[in-house]
Amino acid sequence: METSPNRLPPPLGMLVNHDKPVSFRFESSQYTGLAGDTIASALAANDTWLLSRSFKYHRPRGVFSMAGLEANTLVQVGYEPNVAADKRKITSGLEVTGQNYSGSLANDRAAKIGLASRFFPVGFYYKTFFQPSGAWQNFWEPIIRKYAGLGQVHLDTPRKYYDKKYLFCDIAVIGGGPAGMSAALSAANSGAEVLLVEQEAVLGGSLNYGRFDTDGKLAPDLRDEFVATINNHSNIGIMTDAACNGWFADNWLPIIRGHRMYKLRTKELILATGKMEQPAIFHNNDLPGILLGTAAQRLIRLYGVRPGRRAVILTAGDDGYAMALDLLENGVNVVAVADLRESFDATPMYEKVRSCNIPVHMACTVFEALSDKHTCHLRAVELRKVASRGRCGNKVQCYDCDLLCISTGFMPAYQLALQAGGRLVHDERSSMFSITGLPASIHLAGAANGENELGAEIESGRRAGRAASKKLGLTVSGHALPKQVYPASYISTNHPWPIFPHPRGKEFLDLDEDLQYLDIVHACQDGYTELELVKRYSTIGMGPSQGRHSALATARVVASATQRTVSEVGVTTARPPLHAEKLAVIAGRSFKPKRLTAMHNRHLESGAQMIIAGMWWRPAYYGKSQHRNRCICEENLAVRDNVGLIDVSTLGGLEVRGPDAAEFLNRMYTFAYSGQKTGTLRYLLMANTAGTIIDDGVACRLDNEHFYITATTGGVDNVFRTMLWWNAQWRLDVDVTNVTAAYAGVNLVGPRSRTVLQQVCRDIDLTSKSFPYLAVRSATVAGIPARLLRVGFVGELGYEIHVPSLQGEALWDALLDAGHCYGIKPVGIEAQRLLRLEKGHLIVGQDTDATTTPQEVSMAWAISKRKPFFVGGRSLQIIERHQSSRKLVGFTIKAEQGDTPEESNLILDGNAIVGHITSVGYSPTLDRIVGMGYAKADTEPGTSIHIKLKSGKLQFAQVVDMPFYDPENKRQNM
Amino acid sequence: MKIMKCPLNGPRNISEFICFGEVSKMPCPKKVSDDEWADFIWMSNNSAGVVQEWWCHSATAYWFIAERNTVTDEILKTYPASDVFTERIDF
Amino acid sequence: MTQQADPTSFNIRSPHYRTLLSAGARFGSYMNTSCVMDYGRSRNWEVSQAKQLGLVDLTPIPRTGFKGQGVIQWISSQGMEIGQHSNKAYPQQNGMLVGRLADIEVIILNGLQSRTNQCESLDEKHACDQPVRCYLVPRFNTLAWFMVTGETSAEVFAKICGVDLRLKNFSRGAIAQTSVARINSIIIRHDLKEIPAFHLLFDSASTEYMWACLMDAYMEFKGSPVGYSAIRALVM
Repeated sequence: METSPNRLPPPLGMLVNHDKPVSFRFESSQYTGLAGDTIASALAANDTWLLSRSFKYHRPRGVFSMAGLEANTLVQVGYEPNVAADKRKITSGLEVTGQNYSGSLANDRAAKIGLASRFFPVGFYYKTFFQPSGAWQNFWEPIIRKYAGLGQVHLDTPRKYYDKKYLFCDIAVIGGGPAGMSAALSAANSGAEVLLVEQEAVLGGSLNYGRFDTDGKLAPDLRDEFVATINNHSNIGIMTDAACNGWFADNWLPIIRGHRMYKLRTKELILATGKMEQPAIFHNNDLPGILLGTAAQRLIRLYGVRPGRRAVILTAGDDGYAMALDLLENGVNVVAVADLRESFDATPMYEKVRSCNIPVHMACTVFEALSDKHTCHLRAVELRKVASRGRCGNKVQCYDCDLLCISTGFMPAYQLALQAGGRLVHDERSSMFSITGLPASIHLAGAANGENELGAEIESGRRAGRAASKKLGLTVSGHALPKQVYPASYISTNHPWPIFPHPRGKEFLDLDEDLQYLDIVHACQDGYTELELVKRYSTIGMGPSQGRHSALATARVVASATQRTVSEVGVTTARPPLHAEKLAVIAGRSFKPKRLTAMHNRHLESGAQMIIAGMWWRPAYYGKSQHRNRCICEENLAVRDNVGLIDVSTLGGLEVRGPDAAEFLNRMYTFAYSGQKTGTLRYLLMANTAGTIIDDGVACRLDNEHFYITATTGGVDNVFRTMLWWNAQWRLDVDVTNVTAAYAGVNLVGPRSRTVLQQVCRDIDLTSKSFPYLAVRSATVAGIPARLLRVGFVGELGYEIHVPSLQGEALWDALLDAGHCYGIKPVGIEAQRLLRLEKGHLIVGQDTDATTTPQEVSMAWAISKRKPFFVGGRSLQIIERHQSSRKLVGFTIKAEQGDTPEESNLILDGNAIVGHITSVGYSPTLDRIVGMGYAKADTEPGTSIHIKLKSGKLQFAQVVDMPFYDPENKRQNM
Repeated sequence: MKIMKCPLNGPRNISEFICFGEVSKMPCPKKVSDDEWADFIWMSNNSAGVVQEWWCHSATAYWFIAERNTVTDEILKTYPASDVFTERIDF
Repeated sequence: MTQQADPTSFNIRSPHYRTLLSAGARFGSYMNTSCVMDYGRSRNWEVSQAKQLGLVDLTPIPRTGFKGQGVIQWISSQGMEIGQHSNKAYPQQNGMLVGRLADIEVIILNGLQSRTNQCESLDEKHACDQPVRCYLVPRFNTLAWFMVTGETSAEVFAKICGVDLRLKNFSRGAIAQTSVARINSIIIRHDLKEIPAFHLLFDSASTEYMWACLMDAYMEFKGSPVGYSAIRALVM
């Protein structure tokens, strides 16, 4: 097997399998990595470091954090743009390409733009592109989009299955490092059910890659002991490769793993999120080959990859010396250590480095980094003395190197804590951070709380575990924690000012957005001194890293420029998501409820075109869509001339029962119901407290204390809820039950409907004399118990037949059977809408809007004046005294007279809009276009109105009396 | 997502509930002036601080009252509507 | 036990009988309707599937409900025993299960092993007694009825329901009235002897949708529809 030049032997590379090579392609070259490698580690093993071009200046970029924290490693993986190459595992045959370059990744033609960076001052979007008008959309935006693109979105991306799952636990611990593991163990020993969430593939956190003692033994030993104890603990659930991407109220945490978002609800939450290593700021600090110290350590221990051959280390504490030992042990020639500090007490770590004859330059920094012209990789660094804060003195030496490791400071991974309401506090003397002000159910552990020494991290985990258990009323027992005595391991330090401006700039505070030191200084000089404004003006922290690497330096620069402390400046508001989150993850498998009537499949079998109304699926018409108009016409005529069958199961149904049933309806609806006779039905019109129409239906009085009422398909849930709300206050002796789903319903309608019904309903007399219009009867239809309602929505003799829904299909079959020899036709809701339009019946929600009053739709007849109270009554009293500006009128247009208007077309009075068309259609019965719409209140029949068509043309229509069809209402009374 | 404790169903995700605004006393429609009535219909108090609100658990259509601090969004307590509306109302 | 039956030969039909048929369901006549007895596999296979993760359509099995201030009194007068806690199900001697949904509302499920329509008898008694402030709720038609059975049933619910139904937190007889896959539902824990199981009752118009949601959620756990015979075998 061909070995990769930078691959280190086992046991290094705890995440990779040295025996399992995996081939993939990057930028059309074939590479071989190992199972468990990320794209970046596999490329680094093969000495390929250049991964991407930066967002603005197209600068070459490579591995920086090895933790997927910034935009440097974003690559395109097949259909998927913006994949973090240092997080995504390689699989056999993976196709990976760089993003955002013209030509090739190594030779990007667009990189010339960097030369012009001084013409792109901070805020240049706002300063430059707003003039002349239109220049942005037509000229600048297309150019900028081309150059500042990220990955490519492919519209033909195959659909993948994503979903969500709820998860519950007593105590969740976010972060499986030393503090998190310690917290989980201590909490689990109280008997609590603990969930330990770790974003890496294995538990251990910094113990997996860091070095805490001179001989490098402590971390692996401690880790093994912790992990073994945790694995054997029955109270601890472990989720690895799982990212907690935000905090929401009452400890509701989205945990993303693979294609699933877990919605975790935990009673107590321990944040052991660790710390984020921070860059140092100097000229060309973004070159490939410049790595955070922890990134180099991750490469070595997690992936078994040597991070370079000749290394320089920039540090301000023991972290850099530990780093030096790691490099030395793994075949990297450490040529120098630059230590920013003036002086310090020698530590064992330092002594050991010195004993290896590595030059250590005190009070020194990297002044600038130099790159190789062809490979774009780091080739040398120039060290200079630190003259004063942020200022370089004399040149010390220039070192050739291909690796620079930066270990100058850390910041707590504060995001989740701040989302939960915490506040970041900075100690000006030690430059260390802490977090205060968290809700009582959230506990911090380890480096997230500013702990900077391993023993203290573990101890703070233990404390957090105990505190969380105590909150649940549990006490910690047992001593399952490792009995390790911690040798005085070193203390991480945070240098207060690792920032060194350069005469030629290019000292990047924000790698995602290519923002330099002076950009932030200028933003402050431009008057944007508040951090949130600096952010919006400069775009700092707005890239994929969300300030993880720039927030600290920015706070320092802004603090310095505005003579404030870092605490006073603070960091910008932390919001979810923590890491880039796919829309697919948020969407999940998206539940779209679908309510079907009992006859649904019969409609499909009859060739119906279905439409969706709310959650309901309803037949629009029966036939092919190219024959739509003809189908609707035929269905319309079937009802007018013969007999049709309409599925009305979606109508809302409520049972109103009890001694106060009639009184209750009196209060809920505008009409009066006390005097309604048993066996009859009456129109229902519902207004809200403001007097606006919100629903309608019919009330069937089945008994003195029992009404069966209908409500509109879309309105019934709200009507039901509103009724219960009112009666929670009135406390009438009445029960309201929503029985919508209990009943399937059909409207058997047309002049021959009685004849058809007589075939299958023989237990009651159907003649108009004993079962007249507006009567309700109980009967048996085709062996099915039914409620029969004689209503006239479409204006013909007809029966609404309501039966138990599980028997709806049998009823449908029986009626079609019985009507077969009479030519019965199933009729869809398009025809039904047209039929009722011919009768001038309005549909609440279509012909009414959020302000329609009964007066405006000529329904004053439906308002009882004799009731002491009904909802909306008091408002209607007031409304009646004011003339409304509009009313709903009927109009007709001769069929051959030009274009047919559409619903929502405007009705004009001169140039003024007075209303719109609410319903319109061609009436085959009347052979003309009929419609309703809002016109001026004084519009009289016989006059005409002007309609503005979609085409912009004006159309005249004749205002007529409604109904258009059968004004004497003879046909429904047959 | 917040948790709300329904007096009937116990603690649930707030997505199971519908908020119906502040509990306010309807003035007597027979006695009140037009202006006062319009004020009742259109003007809500929108108070900063602890308010009584109507909430409905939608799966059970169960109405109850919650006391919520509109500044901190903290739900202090919830109880059945019958704790407040104890008697039949007639007009 | 029963002859195979065609669901369309009865007026009362499960709304999604076509879907059940295409999954291989074999219907048997049951009271005045038909019910999926099995899916054409061996009794042992179905029983062991039900123990692991099964989905049973119980829509044809009788159920009813009552509501109002007088409900508890009348129900008790019918010989039923009902405790005072809401959202709790109370098993009866005769196999029926009375779920108390609120102070003044109950849902009543026919005994799973019963061969008589106990609910219909109760409805008839109610019509005859006309008890004061005790109103019938037509649960047989408002609610479809599935049963989710087996060791992984709580895990399946975690994919479609926000309430913690893990077996140790949601004890036998517990009721949750909540949203399942965005449909208002009633969940009742009712183990089949030692096998964990949940009744799922929900808007009958959403039967087809809910079945599809569950089948989708079941895939991960290798769940499968099983017939009524399997759960009868488990309670016998």
